[in-house]
Amino acid sequence: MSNRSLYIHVPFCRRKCNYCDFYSSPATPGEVSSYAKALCNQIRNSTARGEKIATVYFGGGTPSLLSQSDFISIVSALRDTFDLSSCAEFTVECNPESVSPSLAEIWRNCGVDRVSMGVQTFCDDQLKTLGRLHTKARAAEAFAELRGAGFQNISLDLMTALPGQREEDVRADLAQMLALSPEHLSVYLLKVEPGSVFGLKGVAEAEEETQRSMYLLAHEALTRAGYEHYEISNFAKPGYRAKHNGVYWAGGEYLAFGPGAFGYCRGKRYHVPADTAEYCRKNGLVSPVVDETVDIEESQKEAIFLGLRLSEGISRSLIPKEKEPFVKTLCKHGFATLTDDRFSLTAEGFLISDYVIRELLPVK
Amino acid sequence: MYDISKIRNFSIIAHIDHGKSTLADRLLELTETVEKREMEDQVLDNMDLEKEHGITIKARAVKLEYKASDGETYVLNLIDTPGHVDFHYEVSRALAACEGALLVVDASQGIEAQTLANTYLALDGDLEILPVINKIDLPAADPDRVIREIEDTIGIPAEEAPRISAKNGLNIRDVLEQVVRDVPAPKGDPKAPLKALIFDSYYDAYRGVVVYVRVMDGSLTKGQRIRMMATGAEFDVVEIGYLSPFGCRPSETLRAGEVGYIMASIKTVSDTRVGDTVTLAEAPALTPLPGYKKANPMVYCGIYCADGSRYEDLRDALDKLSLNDASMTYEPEHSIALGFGFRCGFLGLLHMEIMQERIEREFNLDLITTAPGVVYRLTMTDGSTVYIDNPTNYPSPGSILEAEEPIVKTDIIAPSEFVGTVMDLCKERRGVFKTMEYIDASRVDLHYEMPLNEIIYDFFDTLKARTRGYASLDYEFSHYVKSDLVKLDILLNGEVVDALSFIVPAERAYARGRKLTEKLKENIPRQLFEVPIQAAIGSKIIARETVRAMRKDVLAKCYGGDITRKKKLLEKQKEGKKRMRQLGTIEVPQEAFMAVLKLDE
Repeated sequence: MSNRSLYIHVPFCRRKCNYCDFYSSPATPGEVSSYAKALCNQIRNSTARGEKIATVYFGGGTPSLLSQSDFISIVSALRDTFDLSSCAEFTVECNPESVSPSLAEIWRNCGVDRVSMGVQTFCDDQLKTLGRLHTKARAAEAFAELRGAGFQNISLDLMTALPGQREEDVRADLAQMLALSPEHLSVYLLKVEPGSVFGLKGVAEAEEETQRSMYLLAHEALTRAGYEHYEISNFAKPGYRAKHNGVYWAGGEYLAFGPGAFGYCRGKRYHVPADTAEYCRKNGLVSPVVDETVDIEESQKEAIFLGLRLSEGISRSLIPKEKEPFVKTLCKHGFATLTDDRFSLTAEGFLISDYVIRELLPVK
Repeated sequence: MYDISKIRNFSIIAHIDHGKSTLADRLLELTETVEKREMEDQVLDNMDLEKEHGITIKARAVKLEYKASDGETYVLNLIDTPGHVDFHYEVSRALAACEGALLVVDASQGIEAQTLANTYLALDGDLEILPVINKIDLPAADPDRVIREIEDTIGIPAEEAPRISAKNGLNIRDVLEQVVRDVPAPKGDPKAPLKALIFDSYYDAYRGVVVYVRVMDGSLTKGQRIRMMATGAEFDVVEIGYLSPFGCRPSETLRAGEVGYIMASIKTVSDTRVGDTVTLAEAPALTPLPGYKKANPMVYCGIYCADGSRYEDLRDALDKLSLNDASMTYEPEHSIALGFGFRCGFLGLLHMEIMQERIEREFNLDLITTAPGVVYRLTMTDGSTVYIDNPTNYPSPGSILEAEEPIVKTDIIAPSEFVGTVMDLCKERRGVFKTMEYIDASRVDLHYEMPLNEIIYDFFDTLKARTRGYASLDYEFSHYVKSDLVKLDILLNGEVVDALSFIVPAERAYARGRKLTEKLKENIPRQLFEVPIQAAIGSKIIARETVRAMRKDVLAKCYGGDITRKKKLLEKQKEGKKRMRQLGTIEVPQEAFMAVLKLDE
């Protein structure tokens, strides 16, 4: 079996962004440190003790809200419990407002080699609408601080199809992103989740046509600048694809730590209950909830629906025979390409990938 | 034991929701035919679907014993009638088995079109009509008004009508006393040659067909050989008996005046047509009872499986259902668009809906049905006459000398304030006004002749909508009339979809074609490429719309490793798409095939 990855969920945000429905809550420093203590305990009690780890990912929430000492003790717990000697990528997510030169320094010293920063847009008005706490200037500054600390692999998040956003706004955002020359970029289309502030306020998503043209605009600008559009919403300079996310897409296993974290281990997809108070009370030793058991049939489905997210696509052998005509139609209309052994989506195809996947999934 | 003067055969006529089933339950309770505690509400309606639709689909019968206030014990046979317009003929046969009928009218609503139609049937059959005013417990009840209404409209005295609440069990005994006093005892000679009227039958998987009869003359004993006078089929009687709410109670003989069942190892209900006369093979009656006619389907549609590979299951379902319902017909047919399926004929729209629902529920099949159509009568240039029940088979105009469509006599009862509205609607639907009567100051009975073709196009729903639910409708086949008809074809992506073709009066073709293409545009989801929708008469395109190409269908983010959530979301969306049908490279949902019915919305 190949090495497992680790996902650590930090369920705190200074404030929740208006588009977000992930599990997080505001927290006092006391709550954060009792969470950190419980987290260390969950890690130290892991049954995977001693295993070699493929990648580590701190997501959230806002991992940059962890104090320096909390961060150090969590990483110590990780190093004490697991074998990180062959860890190929160690990512921490952060927000521009909570980055500092000293925090960046600590991360470096702890072995973090990749930072993913939620910039979202370089338009201050839009940042306000989104409920973000940083400004365009602060984003640029934080990026410089990360570079200053020696980070050679930085990923930035960009959102498009924002309320009222025009094409030229997206062009401007892309230009400013490219000026920073990050190694990796994630570009999302704003999705109004029912549980988010936007959802509750009834904010409308942009017209389909607008979303489409913005998506293709990003595809063109970034591929022209030398980035590979290697996944539906991810772009990388050669050699800088996200390895941890790559584990998800390849159907690899990952262990979940922290309330609200998702994991996949021994054929079971599970999550740690999203209840921070309970998690702290039990000192991190809560029972995980199994979401499903992935049998051969399910793993085939996953291979299709995760594989089609990637520019490499899937093996042709995964395509049901009766769907060959459909696949040919897709190719004919420029949504996909078919080689002797692979079937993959083009950028146009990525845009309708949910539809394609639904078609290819076997009927229950 | 057997005393014909102590037998009373009666049925209940009532509009849907006016309380027929509830009253039947109370009668059963009061005669202790059913213990209150073992009583599931409304025992007479025993199909699940009936309970949901709140109507009785097939007639049932039950024998009650009642000790009347004169100290005598009477045998009361309650014969239940189907309440819906589609089962007109069945109602007439059930009534023919009775000497009297209870006319149950809701004290807050008054008489409705169907009630009236059935009451006239009963009067035609010389039945004694006993009005019963139900739901007097309702705050809006106005029994005096309703009694006047009955007297004015039907012309029968209603002064003494029991005022009851079937729901609360109020004054139920009065109803039974009136039945004993006013319904005539049956006439008939137990010594004469056997004549027994079939008023219902059903198929039992273990015992074969169970036939419900009313013996008019003669007697029948177990073991005798019987003959169905219309079909000529003969059978040996295995069992006969009376009907209790819980099933069959065997007995030795059935005699003139009695109501009961016959089992004779009969394999299919088509041998036991409602209205036919059962006689003895040895000593047959000279003439059958009057009134037999084969019920002919009036409405046809194509029925296909959403999953084409389940054709054989569909055949099996139709075979099984037809064991129980001789009025449904089905013939295999092939559609280029939908593959192999069946052209099915029904007595009316409700009958069609009920059967479709039963196929889906009882046999777990997802159906795709084409829009219902009527039977056109064509005189061809070579002098022959053909009946067309499938638009696909409509011949080219050059070979048709004359086309005719079926006309139905239509009764609509509506509050007088809606007379104008109803008249407008009927005019829109090519109705020809006949007469109109005021039932009372506030309600009107309108008589029209309308093409059946117009009634099946969502007429009832439109009528209800435009009269805020107050109008009621009854119709009955009348005759064929010459009509200028054309076949309208629908093309998707340049190809004719045969299952979407329909027949339309020439004057409506353009408007219908335009509306249908618009409707289809709403119904057909976006595809990978632009899809033109065209309406055509022959090779002439008369309307065009375009389904735009799909632009975006992706959720870019992947929920931080929550693969399960994303997968379930996709699967759920896929579930919702089950009823899509692949026509060439285009996906068409079930609704598209019914869109033609919804053009007036």
